[in-house]
Amino acid sequence: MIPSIQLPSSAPRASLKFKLLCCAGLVAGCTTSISDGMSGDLKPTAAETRSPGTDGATSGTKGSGGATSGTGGSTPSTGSGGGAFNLTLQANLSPRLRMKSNNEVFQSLKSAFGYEVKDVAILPVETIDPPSGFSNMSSQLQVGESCYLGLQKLARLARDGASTESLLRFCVGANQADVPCATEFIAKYGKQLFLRAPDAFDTASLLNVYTESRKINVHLTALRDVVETMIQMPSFIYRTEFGVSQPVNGVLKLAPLETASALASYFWDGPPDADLIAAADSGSLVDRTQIAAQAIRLFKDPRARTAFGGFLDHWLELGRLASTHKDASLYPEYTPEIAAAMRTETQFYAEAVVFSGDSSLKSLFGGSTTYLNESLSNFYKIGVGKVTGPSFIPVSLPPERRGILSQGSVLALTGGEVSTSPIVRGLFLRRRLLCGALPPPPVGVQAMAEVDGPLKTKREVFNQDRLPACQGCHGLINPLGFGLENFDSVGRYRTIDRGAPIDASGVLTSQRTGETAAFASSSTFFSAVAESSELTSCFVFRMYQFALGRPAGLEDKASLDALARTFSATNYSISGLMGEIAASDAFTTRNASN
Amino acid sequence: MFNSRRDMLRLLAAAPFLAPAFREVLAAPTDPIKRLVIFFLHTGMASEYWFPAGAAKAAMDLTGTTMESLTPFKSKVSVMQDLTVTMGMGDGHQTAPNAALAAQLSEGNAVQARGVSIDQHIVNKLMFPTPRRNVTMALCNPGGTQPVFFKAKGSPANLIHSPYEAINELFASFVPGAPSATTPVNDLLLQKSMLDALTGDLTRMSGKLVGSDRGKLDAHLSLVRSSELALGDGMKPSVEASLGCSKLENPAAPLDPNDINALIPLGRTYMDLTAMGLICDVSRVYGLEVTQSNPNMSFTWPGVGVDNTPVPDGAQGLHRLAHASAGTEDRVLFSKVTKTYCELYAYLLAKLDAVKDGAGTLLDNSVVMMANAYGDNAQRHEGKDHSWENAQYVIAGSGGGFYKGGRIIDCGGRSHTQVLGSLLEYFGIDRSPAASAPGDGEFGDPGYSYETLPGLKA
Repeated sequence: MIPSIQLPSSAPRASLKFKLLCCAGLVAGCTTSISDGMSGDLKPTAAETRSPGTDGATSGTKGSGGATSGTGGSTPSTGSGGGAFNLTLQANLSPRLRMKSNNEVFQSLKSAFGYEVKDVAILPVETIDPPSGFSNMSSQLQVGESCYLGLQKLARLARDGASTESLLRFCVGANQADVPCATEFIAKYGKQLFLRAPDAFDTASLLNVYTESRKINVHLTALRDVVETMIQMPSFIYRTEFGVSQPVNGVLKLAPLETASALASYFWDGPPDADLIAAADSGSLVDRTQIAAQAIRLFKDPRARTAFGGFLDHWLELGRLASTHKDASLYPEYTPEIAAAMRTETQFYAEAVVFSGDSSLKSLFGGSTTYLNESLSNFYKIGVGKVTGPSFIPVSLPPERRGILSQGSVLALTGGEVSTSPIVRGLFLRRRLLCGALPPPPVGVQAMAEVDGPLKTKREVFNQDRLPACQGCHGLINPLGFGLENFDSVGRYRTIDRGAPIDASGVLTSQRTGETAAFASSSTFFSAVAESSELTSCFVFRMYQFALGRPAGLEDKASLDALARTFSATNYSISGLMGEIAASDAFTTRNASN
Repeated sequence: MFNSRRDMLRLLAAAPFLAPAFREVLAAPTDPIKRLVIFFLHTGMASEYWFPAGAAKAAMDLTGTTMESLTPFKSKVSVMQDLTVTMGMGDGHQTAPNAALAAQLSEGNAVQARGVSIDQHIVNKLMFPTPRRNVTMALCNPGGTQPVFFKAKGSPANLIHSPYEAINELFASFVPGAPSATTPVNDLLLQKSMLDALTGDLTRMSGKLVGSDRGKLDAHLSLVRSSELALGDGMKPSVEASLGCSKLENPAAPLDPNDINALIPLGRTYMDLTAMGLICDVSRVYGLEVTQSNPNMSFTWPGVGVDNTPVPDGAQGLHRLAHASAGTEDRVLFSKVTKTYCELYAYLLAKLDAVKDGAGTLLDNSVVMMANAYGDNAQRHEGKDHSWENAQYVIAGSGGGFYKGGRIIDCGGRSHTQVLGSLLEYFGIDRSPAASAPGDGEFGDPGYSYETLPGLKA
């Protein structure tokens, strides 16, 4: 077995104030203390509370770019050769060109020129790749017209906003109006922005800009024009992966700076820092141990929480929550503020588990704590009176709720506008979380009409005799939805549906092995999901794609199998899995034939 | 700020540091504008009918030759003899068009010139203040097969396939007397230097990539190119009304643009619009390619036609004629085909020579090149192979006195890249190919010479 990389959890930090990046909608700079496990009592203390940032807890739009719910027919088909994974043949598994995310661009500008982007909407939201659900898939990212124009505007703003200090950094004591100064400027910032030393061609073309500008501008302005140009250059906008030297047995090893860039993109959704670049430059980012050591360092940095929030947003499609409509006459309490709070709840909870708790996927789905503020506490009727104010604090859950699936975010996202739909919820769980392969309904099948009359509960409606042909799929879908029927369209617990008691029992069937796990109630349903081998293998599959920024295909089978084994042997440690992926050959090498 | 092109011109006189490109753009009104038309043929020619011999050659008497129609302009025409086409190894039907205007060996049989073609190279380097950057057109090649104009490595330029479509594109929104530039020249130079950095970086990066990765960069590059166009629009000069610019309209009953039987009238319409495009300064660089390298097409034109009977190797129609051995009936027919092409070429020359421009004519102040993917095919395995020997290149128009004309130049087997080098010299563009060429998307190849062809310059 491959030895796993155990990434230690971060120590709690003093400041618990969190802030949401406008663009990414991700929780940043926050932590928690749940070292006594996930079943702690309600212990609100000043040190443990979190306050929403003033820029709003749900202003993020990163995940709102149009991901569809789990109905896209995007999962791999059954019967493929992927073993535990539904893998199919995929084209172009080793792209050499990866466009940077908006955040990577923004963070690079901040790091290099001290320029902070004020309006993150200046660049269009990254396109989501429907099969994976992620927005960092290289196949989906390219400079289209709106992005091109946005980059132009951004470059101009950064040109004007670059700090004077950053512009004059390299010419201390020299004649600042000299071409040599501009040459040094280009060499230093070229290295930082392009992650390679600028060659003669780069230098000549950028010096040409400087020279043209210098004819009509002062030295500093001419440097600003060089900055504006560099920001629009493809060497900055894209990451390239050409590898080192010649491929060996068809495998190309990434160059150290390419590895550094890939690690920073994966763990931070940002550019590599000076330490990472130094490690690459000094030959200390080559072997597995070195890469693992850097992975641990990156994971412990607050930026990792931001990037993980991006993963979570896309994995669970939380970006769609803000635009999920509910019938206001039926659910007047479900306000945009509540929807925002639900998303924050999930972000806080996941972050607490992954970065401060045991990091186990089982805890994420089976934990008995969550994070609530007063309005959400009142909405759920959990811990009422004990949670006050806008800050989120850890709260123990009642027995009917466990883990992330019992949170309002997922339940409202899949809950339907008027009433719950076990099929919609079941499909979401089956496809998104269990990586189930379900074909679309046969041609001619119509959506089930709402019925009045003797049938009361949703379960009764959906259990009506259906065409036998439907049962193959709906036998896999419907029980997952039934297990959540104790929660209404907006995520509140209920025991009665249309005047009749709800039966939330059922059987969770493994699509892969046929094994079954019976559940009698929502709480045992959550346990059944948490213990499902399909959940763990699907998580490995999703994280793998997220880390590599590309789909996983048949040729990834060995890598995925090895990762799944390690994941299992490490109590399904998410942090461990992230480190294992970073240190894997799949991450640090490319297939030269692609 | 400048309120008119005239203002910019005044500035130019006091601004000797301006780059050559802008010196050209903003040159004094008395300086001739530089223009280029490439009339590209795919099939080679029959040299025994093409060149005059003996005393006729010395006197450049074209009577009785394929080029007879050029006689009225012969003092303005240079004919290349014994010029060698540089082409790649592989299926010559593809490697020769790939290599022809990109001026470097091509790789394999795919549509993949390894760099930009010379027409694109010129407009990339020189930002002409015209509404259209350049115009690339195809006559009776509806599929754009075996293209010769390349905007980037492996990326053929967008071809206009119908002369009527071309008229629409060039003249539909054309307003004679377009407004003059208002952006300060130095700002434009700065903006251009920034765009140059982007296109250079994009082109080089693209050259290292394949497939969808490269497709993304090519799409990105086209956006940068559109910025260049917009920059050019900002400098749009007023039309020289003295040349007789008038808006072209399409005929009421157009012909089928893909009908090879209508090649002559279709070709003439292309020539009409090219001439008016030059007169109106819609664009200064035009490319028109005729059919393709393996035109297995039968047709009937006045005085010449061919059926679809294939020769043993499969070539049929026009393609069969291109492969004819010397002394055969097909060879005679082939010379008549190339004679027809020459007549189309002469039709354009006549149009341009009829326009007074300064002390001379519009033809005098333009360069109109007839080029070919091949030479005399009969010189290779009696026509079984397309040949690189005796490439069919003719240059008409002196480019404002830059070329001499009135001669048949013995090229001594030199590469056609030197003809292209002569064009670069005329446009004032550096003739040394990029050190990283070939294969990175740049023009040219360090393995070939781009020195001016001896005997061509005045």
